[in-house]
Amino acid sequence: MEPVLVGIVCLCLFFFLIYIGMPIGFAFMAVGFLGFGLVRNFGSACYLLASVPYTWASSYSMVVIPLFILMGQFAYESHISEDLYQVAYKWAGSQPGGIALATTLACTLFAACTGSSLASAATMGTVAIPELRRFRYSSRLATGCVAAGGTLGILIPPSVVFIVYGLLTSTSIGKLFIAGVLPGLLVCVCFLAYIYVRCTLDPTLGPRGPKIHWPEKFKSVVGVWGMLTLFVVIIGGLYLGLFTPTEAGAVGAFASFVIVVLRGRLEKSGFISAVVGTVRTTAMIFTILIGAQIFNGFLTLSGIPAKLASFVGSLPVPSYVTLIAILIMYVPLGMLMDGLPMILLTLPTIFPIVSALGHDPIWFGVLVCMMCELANITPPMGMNLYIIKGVAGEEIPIQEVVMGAAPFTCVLLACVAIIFIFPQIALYFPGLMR
Amino acid sequence: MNPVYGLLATIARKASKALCFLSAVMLMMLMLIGAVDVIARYLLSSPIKGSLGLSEVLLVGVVFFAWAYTESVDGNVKVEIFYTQFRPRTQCIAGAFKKLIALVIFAIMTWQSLLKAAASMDSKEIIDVLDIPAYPFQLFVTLGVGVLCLQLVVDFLAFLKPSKGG
Repeated sequence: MEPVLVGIVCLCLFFFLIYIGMPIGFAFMAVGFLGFGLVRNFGSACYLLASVPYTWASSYSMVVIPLFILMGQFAYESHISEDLYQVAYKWAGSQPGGIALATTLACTLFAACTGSSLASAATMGTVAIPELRRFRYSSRLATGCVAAGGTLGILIPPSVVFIVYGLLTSTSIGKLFIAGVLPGLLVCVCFLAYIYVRCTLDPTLGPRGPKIHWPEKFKSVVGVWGMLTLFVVIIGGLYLGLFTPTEAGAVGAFASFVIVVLRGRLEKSGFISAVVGTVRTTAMIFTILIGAQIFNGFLTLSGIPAKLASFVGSLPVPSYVTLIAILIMYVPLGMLMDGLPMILLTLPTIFPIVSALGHDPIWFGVLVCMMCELANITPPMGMNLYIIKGVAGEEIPIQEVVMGAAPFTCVLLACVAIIFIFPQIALYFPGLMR
Repeated sequence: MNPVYGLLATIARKASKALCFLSAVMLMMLMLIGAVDVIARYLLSSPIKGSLGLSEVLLVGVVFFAWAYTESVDGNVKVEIFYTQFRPRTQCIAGAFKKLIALVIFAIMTWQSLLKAAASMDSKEIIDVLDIPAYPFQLFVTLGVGVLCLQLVVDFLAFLKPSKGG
């Protein structure tokens, strides 16, 4: 059988396994093994199955993954989200839609402590939704702003999606982190502007919170200075070339541990939960990473990516049109799967095309990361929607959460368009790095 | 079948938890080595010898020792939207089918990683700078994936149990 035909049949089998609910990493491995065996031989496929797991899990560049996850887990377990929320609440709460503004700001600050969108949504949802209800905010605005704000976790560094993208495409993780800062702030500002305008036009959606005096505002910052300083040190260290991403991860995890212990915010159960949560997430990510490597080994052998790249390259359309088509493809894909497996499935085929078209890999990485953000709030598989539904309880149906997130989805798409039209926003800081 | 299933389930649960504990310990060691290495390098101008190699082998333990536990708590990413729409009987058949496929793949991986470790031992492969044999760390893969296989056997049998009772 022709390798390309084997490739197409195996891709169908892969989607069937996904359809019946097989873990994505397992499906990658099973289909990759079968396809490699059919195209080459099963002896080589067995060798692939033996060598890829150890090679990938014993690579120094991979050490960065658990370390940044651990840093985020310590922040999560130490309930720093409550402090961050209080800061944002005291500074922005008295504005129109103030509590929703505070929630979005707190999500942005928390994103700087963790690389996970789900952790951001779950944490901030628990803290903010009761407050939003207390001030009688519209349930759509309340759930939408937390679901959308949570997605900032994967754009503002440290971001697990950027780490995986960097490892897969041999792009500098440090530069990707730095590149995520301005687009992350842009998304935050656009979310804030949307909330402000909506609540100014219709104050019943989100009334103002109580006025807070300046001394109290400044006092609130005391509780979060440690973690925010840590963020500045890590990102500054990466920017100035003082740290490698792995070193930044180790220092970040260790320093966040010390900070939360010194502040008496980490109990024994929280510590265990943070460490076990980290090894679980690490195992989950590596299952997908190792599976994707085996699958990609087969896919490359089948010749599909090369043929697709040459076909797309020969199309008589400008390269930007192709890139737009690629980004649009991520929208329905994001409705079906989580951001991380989505990029692992598509990057091996898409990235050679993007490179061949001459687009900047860092800029494309930021755009892909934003599409992953979108995937987290688009139904039916947007994980943040279900997390917020879980936090909000029975009184708010999932439809309300979906409808609440819809305008933020449009805002996020507008931000993707802005970054697409003005790549300098993403590339300005990386361009200044050594 | 029940006593055997119960015994297997107990062994799988205890083994996956024990390995997860080891994974957690290795994670903390990974963090400490990384942080101390950076501090020693920048403040004392004397990095820890072999910290890079040590981090690499510790990561192998962190990843593979947590695989079985992650599967036991259903922690792997999957698309459930279609699967949950199936009728219970179809869910049961699909569940058993996917566990069986995973079991075959991971059984091959266990066996192949064992052969790889044996080959590494025969060729006296060592880890750079640390000058210690590499094969014990390659056996981390065998052990971690082996316990995952045991967990998958338990999960597979669990899908068969309801069909027996009708």
